This record gives sequence, structure tokens and C-alpha cells, in this order.
Amino acid sequence: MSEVKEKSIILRAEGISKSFGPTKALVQVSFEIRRGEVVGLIGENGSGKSTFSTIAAGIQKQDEGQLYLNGEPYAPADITDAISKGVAMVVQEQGTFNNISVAANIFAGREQQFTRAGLLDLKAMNDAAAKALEKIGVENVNPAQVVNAMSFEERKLLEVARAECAEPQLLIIDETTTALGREGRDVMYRLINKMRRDNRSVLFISHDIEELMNICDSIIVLRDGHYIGALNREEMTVGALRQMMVGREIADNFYRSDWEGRLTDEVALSAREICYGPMKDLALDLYKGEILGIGGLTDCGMHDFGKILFGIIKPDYGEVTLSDGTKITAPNQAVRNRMAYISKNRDTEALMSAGSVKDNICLPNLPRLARFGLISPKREMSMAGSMADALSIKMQGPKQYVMYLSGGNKQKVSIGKWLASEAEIYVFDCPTRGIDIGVKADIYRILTDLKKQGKAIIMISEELPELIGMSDRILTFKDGAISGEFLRDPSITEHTLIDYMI
Amino acid sequence: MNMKKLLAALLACAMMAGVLSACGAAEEPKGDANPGGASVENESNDRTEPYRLGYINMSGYGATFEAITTVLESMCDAAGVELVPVQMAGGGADGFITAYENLVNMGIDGVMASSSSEGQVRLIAELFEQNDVDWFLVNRRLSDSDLQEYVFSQSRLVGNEFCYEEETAYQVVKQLHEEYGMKNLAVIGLTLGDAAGDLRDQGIAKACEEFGVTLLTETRGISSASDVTNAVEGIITSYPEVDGFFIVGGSVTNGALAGASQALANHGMEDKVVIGMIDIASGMEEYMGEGKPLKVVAGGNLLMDWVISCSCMINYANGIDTDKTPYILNTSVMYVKTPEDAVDYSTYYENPTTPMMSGDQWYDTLLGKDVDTIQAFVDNYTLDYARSLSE
Amino acid sequence: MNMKTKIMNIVKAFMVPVVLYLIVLLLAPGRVGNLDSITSMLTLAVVPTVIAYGVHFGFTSGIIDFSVGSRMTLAGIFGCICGCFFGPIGMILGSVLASLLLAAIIGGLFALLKIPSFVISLGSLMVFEVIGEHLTKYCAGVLPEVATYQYLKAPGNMQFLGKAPYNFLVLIVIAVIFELVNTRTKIANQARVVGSDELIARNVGIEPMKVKFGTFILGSIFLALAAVVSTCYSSAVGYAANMGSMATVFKPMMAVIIGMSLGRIVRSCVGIFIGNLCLSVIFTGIIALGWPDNLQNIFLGLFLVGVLGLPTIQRTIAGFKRRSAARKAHTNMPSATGTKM
Repeated sequence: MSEVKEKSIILRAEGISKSFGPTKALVQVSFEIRRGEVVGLIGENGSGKSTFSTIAAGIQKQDEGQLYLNGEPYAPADITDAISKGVAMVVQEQGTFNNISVAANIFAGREQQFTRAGLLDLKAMNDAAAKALEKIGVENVNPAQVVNAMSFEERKLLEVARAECAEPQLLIIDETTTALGREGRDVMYRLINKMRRDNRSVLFISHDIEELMNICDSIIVLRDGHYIGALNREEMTVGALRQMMVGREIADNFYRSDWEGRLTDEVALSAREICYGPMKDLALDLYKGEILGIGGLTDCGMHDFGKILFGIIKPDYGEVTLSDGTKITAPNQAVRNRMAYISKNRDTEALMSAGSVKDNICLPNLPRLARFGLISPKREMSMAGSMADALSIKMQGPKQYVMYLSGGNKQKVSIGKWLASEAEIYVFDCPTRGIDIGVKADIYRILTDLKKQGKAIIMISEELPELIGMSDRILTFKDGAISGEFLRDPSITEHTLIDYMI
Repeated sequence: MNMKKLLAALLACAMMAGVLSACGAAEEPKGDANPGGASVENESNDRTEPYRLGYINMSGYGATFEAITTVLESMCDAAGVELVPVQMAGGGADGFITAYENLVNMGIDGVMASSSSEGQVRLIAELFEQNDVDWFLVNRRLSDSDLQEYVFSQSRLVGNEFCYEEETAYQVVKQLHEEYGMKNLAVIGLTLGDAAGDLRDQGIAKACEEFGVTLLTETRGISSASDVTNAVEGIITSYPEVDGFFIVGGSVTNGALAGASQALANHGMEDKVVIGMIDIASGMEEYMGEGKPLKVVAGGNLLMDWVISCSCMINYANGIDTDKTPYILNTSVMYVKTPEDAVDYSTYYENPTTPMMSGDQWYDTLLGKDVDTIQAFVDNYTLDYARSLSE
Repeated sequence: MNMKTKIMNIVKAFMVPVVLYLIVLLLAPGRVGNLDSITSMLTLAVVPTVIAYGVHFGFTSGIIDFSVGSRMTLAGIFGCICGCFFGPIGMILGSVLASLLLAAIIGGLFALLKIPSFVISLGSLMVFEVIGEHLTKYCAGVLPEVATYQYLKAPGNMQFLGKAPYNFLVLIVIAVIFELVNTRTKIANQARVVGSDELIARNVGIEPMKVKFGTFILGSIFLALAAVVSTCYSSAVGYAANMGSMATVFKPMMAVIIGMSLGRIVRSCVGIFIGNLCLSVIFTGIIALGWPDNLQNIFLGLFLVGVLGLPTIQRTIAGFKRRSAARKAHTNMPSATGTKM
């Protein structure tokens, strides 16, 4: 490679391999990232994207291979070392600290720069935090305030500020935009463009192919730990990327292909005069054999509405009733009445991370598994095994802890426990959030099958294509009220819905 | 078999082995066992080996217990009895039981046994009875009549001695009232449920009623000197009329006396408030005398408990008064009231390093004597007498 | 937060012990309605507050340490010995040095062996208690002017530190130092980070074990000062046995928890003092009322639950109010069906 060309490469990976026990997370992965380039990294869950990014960020070390940063061998001892060398990362999970200030969060682990004679200069730290936030386009945040009251999105932006204030030469963004609403994403995109202008690079990991195609100069595809290939801007197409990711053709109809509406006019669940937060007198009926889509902006109230339907949140006024008149006022009552709820906060609200796949799947089904008050381990394993097979959950076995599964497989576990309970009414909140395309297709298939079985499904989603592609009927939420209702029709576009949401 | 299962199996085997060894038979019983009746024919005259007398050595618990050890060693040495000490195996009730089991396994002939609570005594009795070990119940007055009947019917029981805790506390209150005019008393007590503490509380209540002393308040379970200071401060400020404090267990909290005195000094009340205490505290002379608050300290029974028990066991082993078992004796306490007495107490009576009597003196007073003589000795034992032994 | 808000918040926070005092005053007016009693309650809060300052750092980072009492005792004993030879400065320095050494031992074991803090602290407390006992008895033999078989005496010229108003001055100085250390040092800040989420802390380059070791060291300085003040207050420090020193940490820990819950409105140093003041008011109140001593623990437990449950109680009341308002609004509406879909 010529010296000139070598200089323009900021990061080069040569033969990077990493295994976790029998699982090969990365196998001889080699690629380059150039200065001023925004490179997307895409792949199914378990393809090795996060493994690579954590190696590059100094969080863990590779088993084989070598990284080069600016032409020099690069083997960061830890994350601080990586930052000092110019590589910073924004992680996928929650990465902020409760009970401490915005400024302390941004500079956590790097307080030294504000220390004089052993004492922290809080004013200097606060000022620097304000500057860091301003740099990424976030204003009106008091650096001295404690983060507890901040939303997930706001806290994610703090992490971005934390990474950016180190002025990295290479910023790794690992599936961060899934947690962000429109405004947050705009902040991210502005930052990415700024980095490009400053001749700094970004490695952008996302499941959203369209987002990647809009932002990135090139996209690298990994599959099962192997480097499959890279497409530059001219070569990028959705179909090509999908095929490289999955290794097979994924037809455009990975949503529903039919245009029929709901199967029955039998009401399964009703909500009347629901008042809570911004919601005022919301009412709806959900029918059996229907997928009712609910869409809106992040804080329009639709996520809380889903919790009200399942009894998690008690509304200030109003009631949720089943077809037989039973009022739903608590989650355990909802479960007894064959309802299911799949939360959008998978790791914190839908799964026991410290539990096994078996424990999670069997949890709502223990009364059914018990005989004379005793639960049979054999029956548990049987239920977990059959559900894992039905949903093609990639795992070492039913006893594997879910914390070690990829996001998509975790979501399958989360859904699987309700399928095993043979629920009749499902409330899905962002069912495909943070999930790769292959698993998305699987989940859409599940939804379609459930509808065909006559189940009643509510799907709350921030993704318009998903709502349009899967729903028999779409309700748009705006400021706590239902602003529009749309029956399934090929003429409905994202523009149609957006007008009713903003 | 994976590693976890192997380790679990090994652990289970080790625990099983431990259980089985602990359940192993004791050594062959010495002499004939008498299944019924209170007196046991004693074969000690035919004994070729020294009588092995066991006890739990608690000298780590303070100067008093060190003094006890010194006295027992001296007495047994003089009598030609082998004193077999064992350490407490852990704290609490289990510690006592395990220690006695260890003694039994060591093949003792007799034991001086105290207990952490009355509830333990039945278990102790069964242990010694089953293993044909002579035993003496030290410093434990049995309040439960059924338990009393059971214990005193045991063939191996040589005797029981105790202090009248209730009477001791009563006397302290009486003396503070009669000699110093105390009328309003606050109590710094032991934790509720402590047997000695409960009896002392009864004595206090009885004396207060009889002498018209007002029991203002009480506070318990104090674990440090500063906690005592806190408590006394709180009482003084809430009850300005208080003129007496009763520290019910002076050796339970180290520095309790110092803490209490400091609180009084902080409020300039050292010469206005009197303190009475049960249990001798190290350094107590500093708080006694003119202008100082400590007026009466009742104690000394703990050492005498063991003196009685040891002399009874030795005499029993030598065939004296074997038909009079079980002996019932009681100790009285000394009332230390002056700094000079406090110093002499530690020098001549409860000295951790020098036994209160020489070998000959043991024989002059206790060894080879009958039970009545022993009781009379205890009843008449005074600090003056202790001083005279050194002359 | 402007000055007026800050002052209002401090007043609000102090309302808690004031209200408790007023309740006690109502029940026993003749007993606690005097300056002596109030001074006593404040005095009773001094030593536990300094101990709580020492406990705070470790607690924030997730450490439960039962060895606090035994380390304080040993530091106090060593302080008394040094005080005997080197005077007041000797007492303070001796205490601090001993405390630092003990903290280094227990912190080092914790960081090296990586077993739960309460396990290490329980084991250490037993060892330290025995060391304290032997040291006391040894001193009784070689330094009879300072020691008896049960305790060591504080140097006479230091005892004023335990009395009002000097103890309050000492407390203010220590509180200022604590606040400075708590807000302005790297270790204290990182302790909060580690206590919030250890995994994320590691991901930002913080070494949790190093930080926790640091909290042991930092806290030990305050424990040493607490030992000095406590010894001067009671004029003596006695060794503890049979894990009796374990109880020393409970009330300060409660005060730390109360301080944390008040952390939204006042600084930690003030919140912790308020916590201890509440406990001392309850303690004095029980004595003044002549109630059985075991009631004290019941009230302390109820109080702690009440304080910590306050945010939940407030949220429940707010929710109730909201639902009432919504019910009223619907009762008054001519037709109340909303938009049905």
C-alpha cells in the first residue's frame, strides 16, 4: 500500500478473530476505515458488529489479528487508553449514572483534567460540560442537574457528548439511534456530518438499512462473524445489503403481503375515557383477528397507553374492559385473562437478564406447569425447548442466561413466553426495536400467524413502514389524543401518517 | 461427573464424616453408674490417676476470668487434681455445648459447668449424665421448677451454687438510699432477657418500692463508653431531679463507668449524683471517694462461684460429703465503697496473676472440708480477710 | 438554585427533626423543654455524624462495612497511647495513622480477594476486636496511668473536645472538610459513579476496586476523627468483644440513608447531620417519656421506613389527587364519551 494511501487510513483491521467459548464471534475480519469517512457496519444479530466495536474501543481484546490506528499497531489497554489514542464509543445500552450530575456523567473517569491541588474545579467541569453539549447541538441542559429526571433519549445524548468531548479521531456509534426520537437522531446526524467535515471518521452501527444508506459513505456487512463485503455509496441498495446480511433473498414482502382487514367484528378489548398525562378521554375497541397499529412521536403518550391497557399504569380516569365485561386493573389480572404485553424496554421490563431462557419462558406459565403445587423441571424444559424451536432462538441451550443472547433472540424469548401462555390479546410495544432484518421478518410472521389464529393484537410502533406494512388499522396519536384512523390500504404512505402525528 | 458435582460430593462426604465422628461413643465411663438416687458411691480412694476436672477457660473475657483461672489452677495444683481447660468454641449457647462435648471427649471425670442460659441446662445435664461425668452447676439459679426437679434428680450432679442477684441489686439500691439519700434512680441495664439482668431488675424494683425511690427511666443494651455517656447525658437533661444511677453490669461494657462519670462531670454533677454498680470494673477506684460519684460496687461473686465449685468438686472426688449431693450453696457479694478497697480488691482478691490463697491456705479453709464449712467460709469472706491472707 | 430556594430547602430539611422534637415536647413538656435538653440532643448527634461521614463514601460505592466500630476502637486506643506520649497532636495523628493502616488492610483484602464487603468486614471486625482487647490489657500492664484492663483514658487536656460548644465547632470543621472532600475529590465522585453502575463505570475507564479501596482510606480519616471526638466525649475508649462493635455502624448508616434521601434539597453534610439529629431526638424522647428501651428500636425502624417511604407516599397522594380531579371533571361534563375508535 502506498504511503499516501496508508496515511489516509485511520483504522485498519487485519485478521481479527474473537471467540467466546465455542461461539466464534469474529473470524478473520479485515477492513479499513479512512479519514473523514462515515462507515456503516451492519449485520444480523450475532454477526459480530458489537464485538468488533468493543475491541476497537478497548473494552475487550481480540484473540487474533491486529488493529492499526494511523498506520501504527493499535492495542488499547482499556477504554481510557483507547480514548487517549483517539477512539471513542457510544454503547448500545444505557451508559449514564444515576444520582450524579450531567457534568459528572460526561467527564466520568476523566475528572483529572479538572483537578487542581487534589480538588475538582466544579465550575470548570460544568462549563466544559455545557460546551460539550453545545458542540453536539444540545442546549438548555443544566450541567449541574442530576440526570435522574432526564429521559432515556436525553441521557443517550449525554453519552454522545461524553464521547465527542474527547475529540476522537474515530467515533464508534453502536446502535444508538434506536433509542432516539426524531430530535435526537437529528443531533446524531449533525454530529456525524460535522465529524466528516473535520476529517474525522465514524463507524456507525445500525440495523436501519435506510438510515445507513442516507448517512454513510460506505457500508460493511458482517455475517456470522465473517466479513462479507463492503458497498460504497454508488453500490448500496437495500436488496443487495439484505442479501449480504442474510445470505439469501429477502423479498420486499417481509411485511404482510395481503391487504385484507380484520377477520372479525368481535370486540376483544375496549378502552373508554382514558385520562392520564396528556391523554384525555381516549377510547378504542380492539377486535379479534386484528392487528391494530398505534403510531406517533416518542412522547405522544402511546407507550403509556399500552401499559394502561395491560394494567401496569392506573389511569386517572377511565377503564379497560374485556368482551365479558372484566375490568383490567392490574397486570396479574391481565395475565389471568389471557393478555400479553411485550415492552419496548426489553432488558429492563420484559426479561430477567439474570435468568435463563427457560426461566423467562416459563415465568408467566408456572401455574400451568404446576401439578399439585409442584413444578416439574421436565415440563419446564419441554415448554422452553418447544418454544425455542418454534421461534428459532439461537442459544446454547434453554439454561443459557438471556443476558448473553443477542437483541433479536432476547426479543424472541420475550415473545415466546407469551406464546407459551396461549394469550388471546397481545400488546406489542415496538416489537422490532434494535433487531436485525432477519429476526424482524420472523417477528412479522409471528404477528401474521397470531392474527390468522383470531388473536387480537395491538402494535405500538415508531416505525411508519412497520405500521403501514403490518396493521389492519392504524390509529395515530398526537398530544395524547387519537388524531386519525386509517384502514389498511395500499395508498397509505408515511407522509399520510406523519401529517397526523406532528 | 463435572467439577461442581465432584466438589459437592466431596463436601457431603466430609460433612458426613464430621457428623459421624461427633456422634462417636465417649470414653468408657469411670466407676459404676448409678441409675437412680442422688448420691453416688465414690471410687476416688482407689484412683491411681489424678481426677480430671474440666472447665471452660474464659480468661480472654477479662481480668475477672483471668483471676478465676489463676485461682482454679492454684487450688487444683494444691489438691493434686488435673485441671482440664477448654476454650469456648464460638460464641453463644452453641459455644458452651460444644465446649462441654469436647471436654467429655477428652475423658474428664468431672466438670464445673456454667451456661449461657437456663434453657441450656437440661442439655448439659443430659450430656454429663449419659457420659457418667460428675458435674457442678456454677452461677445458675434455676427458676423453672420442672427443670429444677429434673436437674436435681440427676445422679451425677454434685451441686449447684448461685448468687442472689435480686438481693444484690436490692442491697445496692438500699445502700445508695440509706447512706447517700438517693431518691430518684435511673438504670443503665443489661439487655432484656438476660437471666441475671432480669433478677437484678426485680431486686431494683423491690428496693425502689420499699424505700420510696422513684425509678425514673432505664436504658439497655449499651455497647460502648460513648453510648453510656450519651445515655447519661440524655437522662440528666430529661430528668434534672435524678440523683442516682445504677449500672447493672459494669463489666459488660468496657469503660461504662468512665463514660457515665464523664457525662456527670460535663454537667458539674459528679458530687450531686451517686452511682451504684454491680460487677467489678477495672480502674473503678478513680471514680470513688470524696466528690466522686461511684459509691457502691457489688461484686466478687463471680470468683467465689468458681472457688466454691472447685473446692466442692475436689472434696467430692476425695470422698467428702458424697452422701449430701446435690449441694446447694450460694455466694454473697462484696460491697466495695472506697478507693482503697477498690485497689485492694484487685490486689488481694481478684488478682489476675496471683491466686488469693497459697496451697496451705486452701487446705486450711476449703480443701478437705465439708459443705457447711465451705458455705460458712463464703458467708464470712471479706476484703479484710483477703488482705489478711497476704500478711 | 437561587439563595432563597437553598435557604427554604435547608429549613424544610430541618423541619424533620424539629417536628420530631415538637412531638416529644408535646408528650413530655417538662422533660425536654429546656436548653440543656436541646443541647444534649445536638451533642448526641455529633459523634454519629462524624462516623456517618466516614461510612458515607464506602456506602455510596456499594460497600457494607461492619468493621467501622472495631476500627474506630482500635484507632481510639492507639490515639490514647500516642496522646500519652505526644499530647493532643499525637492523639489525633496516632488515631489517623492507625485508622489508615486498618483501612488499608481491610480495603486491600477486599480489593485483592474480591469477596463481598460485608464478609470481609465481619472477619476483620473479629480480628480487630481481639487486637483491641490485647492491646488494652498490654497497656494496662505497661502504661497504668493511661490504661486499665478494660479501657484507655483520653488525655485530660483533650476532653474538652467532647463537650459543648467545642464539639460543635469540631463538627462544623469536620463537616466542611467532608463536604469539600465529597464534592471536590476524584475518589468521592468516582465512588458515586461506581455505586450507580459498576459495569458502566468500568466501560468509562474507572477501576471499581481501586475506587472502593480509596473509599476505605478516605472514610478512615473521618473514622479516626470520630474516634478522637468519641474518646474525648466519654473520656475513655473500651475494647469491644463478641462482635459488640458491630452495632456502632447501624445508626450512622441510617443517617447516611436519610441524608441521601434529603440529598435532593440539602448538601450531604447537612442531610447526614439532620438524620443523626432525628435519631438523637427519638432517643432522648424515649428516655424522657420513660418508655421501655426496646421501644426505641421500634420507633427508629418506623422512622427510617417513613423517611425513605416519603417519596412513594408523596407520589401516591399526587396520584390520588389526579384521579380525584379527573373523576370530578367527568362528573361535571355534559357528555363524557371521548373519541371512540
